[in-house]
Amino acid sequence: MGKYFCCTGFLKSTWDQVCIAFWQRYPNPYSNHVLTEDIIFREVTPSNCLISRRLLTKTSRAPRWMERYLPKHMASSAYIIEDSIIDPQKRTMTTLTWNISHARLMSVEERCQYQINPEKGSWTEIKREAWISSSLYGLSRAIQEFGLARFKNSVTKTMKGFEYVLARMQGETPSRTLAETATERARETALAAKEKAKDLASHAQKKQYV
Amino acid sequence: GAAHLIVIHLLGLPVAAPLTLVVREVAVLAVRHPAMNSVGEACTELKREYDQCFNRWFAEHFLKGDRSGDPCTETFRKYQRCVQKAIKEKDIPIDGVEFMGPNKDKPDS
Repeated sequence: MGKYFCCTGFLKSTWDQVCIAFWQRYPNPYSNHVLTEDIIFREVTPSNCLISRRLLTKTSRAPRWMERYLPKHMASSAYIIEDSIIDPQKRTMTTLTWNISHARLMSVEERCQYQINPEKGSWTEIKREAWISSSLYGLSRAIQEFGLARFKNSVTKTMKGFEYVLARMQGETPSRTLAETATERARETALAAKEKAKDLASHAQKKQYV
Repeated sequence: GAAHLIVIHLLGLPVAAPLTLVVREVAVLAVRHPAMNSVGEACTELKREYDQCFNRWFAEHFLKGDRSGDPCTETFRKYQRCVQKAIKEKDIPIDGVEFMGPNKDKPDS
C-alpha cells in the first residue's frame, strides 16, 4: 500500500548558492501556506558536516471530504519536520521531511539529495523521492491519490520558490507576474470546484471513522 | 526593525541627475526582505537575529571549509531557550523523534 514518487530536477545555480538559498527560502511568493519556521536543533559533526532540524507549521489544506474524518480537536495547523545533513567536503546535502501531525490521516515523507549537476558543474541536481500513505480505513486509497496529486503540485511550488530566492540573492529582480498569479487563481478555483463535486458525491456514501 | 520604503514625491518637477541616483541607492538599502515568524510569538526577534548570524557564517565560513569557531552560539542559545519553551507549551510532538528517523526503513535509492 502507499504511493511512491520520484523525480530528478535541477536548478541553474551552484550547489553553494542552492545551500545558502535553502536556509533563506521562506517566505517566498509560493509559500503562503508556510506559517512559521524554526531551527530546533543544529550541530557541526566531528566530520565537519552540518546537521539541522527545522520545524515548520503549515496551514492544513485538507479538502472538505477529508476534513470530515479529522477529530474536531485536531490542530488546524500541520507540523512538519525537516532534517538535513550538509557535507561541504563532498558537496552534498540530504534532507528528509515528514509531517508529525495528522500522520494517521496521511503521512508524507520526502527525501532529497542535492549535488553538483554531473553534466554542468555550475548547476545543482536534486533527486527527490516521496512516500505517501494513509492508514484511514476505507479511505486510504482516495487520500493517497489526493496526497500524491498535492505533492506533485508542491514540488512545482518548491522549485519556483527556490528559483525566486536564488534570483533575488543574485541581484536580479524576480517577479511573480500578474499573468502567473491569475493562472494560479484559476487553477485553484478549478480545484475547489472539483473538491466540491467530490464532496457532494461522497455525501451519498458517508462512513464514520472513530 | 521594520522595512521602510522611501517614497519620494517629485511634485512633477525635474530632479537633478545626481540627486536621483542617491535617492535610488538609499531606497535599495532601506528595503528589507520579508522574514518568517517563529512558532513562539515571543521568539521571532531572537530567531531573526540568529538567522542573520547563521546565514553569514554559513556562506562566508562553513561552505568555504573554514573550521574556525561558530560566532552564533550565544544567539542560538537564547533563541533555543525561547523556542523550546514555546514548543512545549503548544504540545508540538517533537520528542523522541530520531534524527532522520523515518529514513531508517526506506531503501537507498
